[in-house]
Amino acid sequence: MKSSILKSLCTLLIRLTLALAVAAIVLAGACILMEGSLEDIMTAFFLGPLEDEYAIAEILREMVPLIFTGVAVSLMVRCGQFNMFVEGAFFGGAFLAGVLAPMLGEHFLVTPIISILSAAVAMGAVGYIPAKMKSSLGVNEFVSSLMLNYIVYWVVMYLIHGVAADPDYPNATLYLEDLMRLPLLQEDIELSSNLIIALLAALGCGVFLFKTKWGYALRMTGDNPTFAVYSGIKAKKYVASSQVIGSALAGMGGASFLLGNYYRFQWASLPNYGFDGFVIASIAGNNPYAVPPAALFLGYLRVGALQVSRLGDIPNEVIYVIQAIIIILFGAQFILSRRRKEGGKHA
Amino acid sequence: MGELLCMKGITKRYGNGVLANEHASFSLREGEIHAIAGENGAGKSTLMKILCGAQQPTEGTIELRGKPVRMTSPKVATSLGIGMVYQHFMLVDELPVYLNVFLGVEKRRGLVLDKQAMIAQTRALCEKYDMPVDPLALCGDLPVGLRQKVEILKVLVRDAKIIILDEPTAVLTPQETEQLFKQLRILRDARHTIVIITHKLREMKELCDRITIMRHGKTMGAVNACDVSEQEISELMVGGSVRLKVAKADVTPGEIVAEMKAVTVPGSGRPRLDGISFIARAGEILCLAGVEGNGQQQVIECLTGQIDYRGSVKVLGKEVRGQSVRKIRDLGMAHIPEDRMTMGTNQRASLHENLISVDFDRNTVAGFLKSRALKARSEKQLKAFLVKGEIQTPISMLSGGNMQKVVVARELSQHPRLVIANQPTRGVDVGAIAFIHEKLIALRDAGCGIVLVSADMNEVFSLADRIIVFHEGRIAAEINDVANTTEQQLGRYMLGIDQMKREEAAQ
Ligand SMILES: Nc1ncnc2c1ncn2[C@@H]1O[C@H](COP(=O)(O)OP(=O)(O)OP(=O)(O)O)[C@@H](O)[C@H]1O
Ligand SMILES: [Mg+2]
Repeated sequence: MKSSILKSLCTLLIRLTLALAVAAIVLAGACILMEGSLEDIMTAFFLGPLEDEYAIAEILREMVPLIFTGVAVSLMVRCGQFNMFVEGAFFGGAFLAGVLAPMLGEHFLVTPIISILSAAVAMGAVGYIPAKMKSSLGVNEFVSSLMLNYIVYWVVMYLIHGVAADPDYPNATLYLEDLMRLPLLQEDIELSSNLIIALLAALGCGVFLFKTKWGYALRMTGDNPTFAVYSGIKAKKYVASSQVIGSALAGMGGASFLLGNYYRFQWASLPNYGFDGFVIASIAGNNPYAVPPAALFLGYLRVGALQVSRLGDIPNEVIYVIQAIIIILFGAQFILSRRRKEGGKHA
Repeated sequence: MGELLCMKGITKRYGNGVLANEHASFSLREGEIHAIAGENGAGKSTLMKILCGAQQPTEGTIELRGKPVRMTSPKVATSLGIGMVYQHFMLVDELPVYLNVFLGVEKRRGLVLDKQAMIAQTRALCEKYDMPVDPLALCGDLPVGLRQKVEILKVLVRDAKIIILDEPTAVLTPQETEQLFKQLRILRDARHTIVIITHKLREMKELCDRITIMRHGKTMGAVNACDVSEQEISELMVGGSVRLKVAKADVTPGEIVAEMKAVTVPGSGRPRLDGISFIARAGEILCLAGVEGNGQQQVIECLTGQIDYRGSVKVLGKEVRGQSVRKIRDLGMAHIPEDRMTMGTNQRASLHENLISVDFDRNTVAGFLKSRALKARSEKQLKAFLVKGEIQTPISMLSGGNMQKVVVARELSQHPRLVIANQPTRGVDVGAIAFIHEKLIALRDAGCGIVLVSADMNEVFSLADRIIVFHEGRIAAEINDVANTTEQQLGRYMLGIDQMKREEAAQ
């Protein structure tokens, strides 16, 4: 167990170095094209995120959604499932929390926690749809969950324009009073306690995956379904439940994020955090313990990009290029490992 | 005969620190058939992988015709005329035979593949070496015996003069083995040099000119096959005395542990199983014999709840239909599957994780695995079954025979009431075969029922209390008096030349 953590952290480190090298090369390239000062840009990118406590708090804020979705994706991929509903569940969870918290009223901690748990349960339940379709009917979860994202999105859009909207504030839910939100850890830099929930979720999932019987059965099913069935493990059950748990985690993430960092729900489009989850999971090698460091890395990268864009020489889009290259770097390996698994079934 | 090839002072340390070869040396004479023998994990596969460039030695040199060479990759080895058929095949199921044979060395005419030339050359090779393979058949549709022929063709097409086969007979029936040996002799007469890794002492004596014996990564020198007895070979392998035959007390059959009544399993064309009825009792070893593909596999699949059937199949008193594997196993069934790579093990997990897969949920507190107790148990099992490996080792790093021992250890440690053993000793060394046989017999004596499927005649005759012979999905014979049955007679039943009437069997 210990050695497996150590090993995954080592490979993580190697990958991160590789990714940083890529980032530096792309930035240098952009810098030459845009005729900016190479030194300024590199300093802003690599040291800017540590400039002051606001920048650091910004990294920590970025980490929260990344951790939740990264853990959710890791869990599902460990069971061999490529479910994209993390995106929709994060969005739906945030919306539900935005609606529920004002209804529950101002109760310190109680309101946010009940809202978050309800969002988790609700999104887990919705996530059961593609899960069950996969385990019982063999419908590809990738396609059905993508569809489901749009269904959830449009339902939320419909509700927010009518029923759930704030009459004084178009296309948004009611204002969240302080006691309806998660408490702040640090007032000045607005650091929310949702980071703690995120870290606990990652830790909990790691324990679940590596220490409990369900986690063990889930991993065996993901590694080799033939072996799992032969051993007497109910593979279908784990195929379905991994997706339900993943969706619940994502829903929880959306709710915690909203109740920590926003005053009302007014997202007009899918925020893409679900897709970030795939990037994080692949950087972390689908190991929940490695998810927070991976999120720290990507968060750092993004704040670095923000600092660079403040210089005005290089557009923020460059960071998306870097990110895309990293996705290709890690994602290629991700897809390869999946193909190998499918090939194994025939052999 | 001159020395063709020579490996000197080969040491191989794998990335995880395992010393697989230690100052091993090996020499080949032109035109000989040379066996490599040794216990599981002795380093046979590793030494041959080094010879064909699939692994790099940590130390040591290779000389070909007196000139030093470096096998930096399989490509280099191929260009020097060395080719290997691996223990676990590497074929593309979706491609026809001829494309598999020419994979990577396709013939072209301009930009397009020259299919006709490739098909013609494959066919010519098949005829020359008397291999009944259709160049146009899809590889995925072929039985193991023929898949192996395709692997051999792959090597031949690349003009290999030295052909290495890693445990080729482990997956073959006795008839297929005979055929393979005939082809290997033809190859030898055509000036090819052949290296064959095998655990079967009889084969070494029958086929080979010389034998190199390995023990714990070292080579113990080469001997002429005609100068040593089977007993001597096995003693050289383990460095002590070995028992090749296990003793067995008389049977005292008890209650019925498995029963089939008029079971039919449809297939494309003739049914896979056609009205099969038999019973297996506690305290006896019932062997299902037959040439591969005559229905034994389907019987196992029915008994273990893997396929649907018509009729009635009862395991330990319960009808199998509609029951989960979990339920059947909970009744007391253990199952050693034929295919250790995809069914018997999870190649991405550690030895420990592979050992607990069938009963982990009975060793928990509030959902948490009793990690320490389970690990201690796994450690004990590895020791008890002589597996060379630590509990944390990824199972993919084990030698073939040691993987098999992990599967056997897991299944036989469950206190089973019925053991379904499908080729339980495939790829396992002589010492460990005797050990596994002893375990099976001890279980039988303790009142466990055992259903055995084996392509190994030795195994059938040293274990079986009763034999049911399958031919084309039907029972061709039921032999109660195993001791007075000859191998020839059994062979005649298996090939469908003779048939025993049911009344005769009942007597
Ligand atoms: N890829 C690998 N990484 C690490 N160790 C390995 C690897 N392959 C083999 N080993 C180890 O090297 C040793 C020799 O293995 P090898 O496969 O050569 O044995 P073998 O003589 O072919 O045995 P068998 O008869 O069981 O096939 C074993 O202890 C095995 O665990
Ligand atoms: Mg081997």
